[in-house]
Amino acid sequence: MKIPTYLDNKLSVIHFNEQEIKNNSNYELTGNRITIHGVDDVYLFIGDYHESNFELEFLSDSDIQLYIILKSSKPADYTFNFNLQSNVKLDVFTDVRNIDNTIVRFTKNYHVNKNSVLNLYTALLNRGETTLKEVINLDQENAEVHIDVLNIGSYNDKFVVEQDVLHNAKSTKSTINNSLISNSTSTLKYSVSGRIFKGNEYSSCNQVNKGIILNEFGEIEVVPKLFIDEYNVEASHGAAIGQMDDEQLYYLLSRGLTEMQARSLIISGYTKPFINRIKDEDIKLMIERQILKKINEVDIV
Amino acid sequence: MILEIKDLFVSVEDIMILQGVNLIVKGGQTHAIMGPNGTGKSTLASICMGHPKYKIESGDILLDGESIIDKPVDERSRMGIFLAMQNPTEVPGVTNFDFVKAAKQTRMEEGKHLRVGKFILEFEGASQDLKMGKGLAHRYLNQGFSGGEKKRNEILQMKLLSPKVAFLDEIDSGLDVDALRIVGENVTALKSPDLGLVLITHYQRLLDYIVPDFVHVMINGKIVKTGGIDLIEKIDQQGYDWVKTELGITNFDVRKVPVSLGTCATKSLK
Repeated sequence: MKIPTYLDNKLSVIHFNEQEIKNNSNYELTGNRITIHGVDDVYLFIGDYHESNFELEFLSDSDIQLYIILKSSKPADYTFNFNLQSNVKLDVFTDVRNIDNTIVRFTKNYHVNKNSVLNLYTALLNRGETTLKEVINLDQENAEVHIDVLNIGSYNDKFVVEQDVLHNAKSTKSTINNSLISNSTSTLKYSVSGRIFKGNEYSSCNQVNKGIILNEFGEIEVVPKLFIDEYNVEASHGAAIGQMDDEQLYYLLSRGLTEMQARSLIISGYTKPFINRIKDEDIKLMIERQILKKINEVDIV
Repeated sequence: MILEIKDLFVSVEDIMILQGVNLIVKGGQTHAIMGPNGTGKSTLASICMGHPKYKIESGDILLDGESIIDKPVDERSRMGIFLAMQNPTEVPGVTNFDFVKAAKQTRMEEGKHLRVGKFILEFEGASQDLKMGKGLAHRYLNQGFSGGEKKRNEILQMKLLSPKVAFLDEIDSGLDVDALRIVGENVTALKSPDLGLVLITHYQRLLDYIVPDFVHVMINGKIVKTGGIDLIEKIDQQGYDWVKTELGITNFDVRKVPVSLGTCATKSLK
């Protein structure tokens, strides 16, 4: 599997490529277990790797931007187990690419400890069938997770995503923001759960799910769920799914944009907030290109 | 520039709103259309812009002698029609600058591109003229704007897009005294022989800043009276009852048209 050239100039890169591991970083790697610390940008490339389980440990007081680039040319099933010790700030950007419509499944389990903040940014812009299961355990006080997903489906892509946030301690916080676009006959199915268990007061658990279906054959299904077993908490959820807003279209048309331009602009408005959160310029450019490709693949009129 | 509205009948959801409107707007002229609620003033502006909700039953609208009633909304805009809307729509994620730049680009000749550096200066200049504050370019289109900011943003777009004929639909609603003055001064500064203006308003206060050449009163989907600025003062003091009495209008009926607010968000749509 070819490793993307934009990774050549990065300082901390770990490749899990087919049968080999290449560790171009200062971090300890034991089998598929990596221990990361300090302040750094770390790039993890996984291309058709023969094993499927990865363990990532983030030591206390570290501040890390982790970029995970998954590329598959054959069916893949990966599991990632993350453990954030106390006072960790971790941003995880995940970009999934599969070649030739293969089936990709991945499971991510996170344990977030005291005063740690986890930001998850996931771009699901690949082709074929994708299953993502994400379980986030907020295990100790003041642990936080903020999740942003951008998912664009075209042709007959199928995405099944399960997100589950467990508030296992007091004063924990979670936000989920899913932005979904479906066209052609693609289907995007989301099950989004937030759970606050008894005794875990002062916690907040919020989720927003937005979906645009670009034609009559696409399908988006979101099941937002909250399981709240404590009174003194804040929680909200919702799903707004529909076709493109006619009044928005009319407004843009009334300023001279063609229907194609207006629709493209509305879609770019949908994707831009996600893109703006990506800090690495190379990755940002790659994702922008991929979004453009996905949008050009779809019949947006 | 000449916009001609000829014996126009327009319906929405099978209810006839405009019932034979005739109006001619020439470049350099400012027309004010006044009238009670529900008489079709906004419908007139919307149908000229081409809103798909409205249906032309008969009549015609011509811009410089060419009928526009079969032209799509975007083409009408590029031909030079502008509508400053009563309730400008919010478009999340799309910045003001990207939007206006895209709109401006549509007016360029094929193969020519906008000079972005120059356009940035134009945008900033217009933004300052309208006291929109710094950072407008990067704010999402109308999202989180106050009512007054939305109206000023409409005028900003009008300034930058240089239309031939502009309808300002209740541009004064939601504006405080200072914002009204700013809008009034900016619109007045745009007056030229190349621009025809149609102001739709309920109040004299806007017309203190943008002085019209003609004042029309619309009742029951028709322009029933036309005069000069003296008409504004009389309407402001006496309302519209005297017009109805003078013209023998007895069947005045404010249409309360049921409007669909759409449906609640659904979790699944196939």
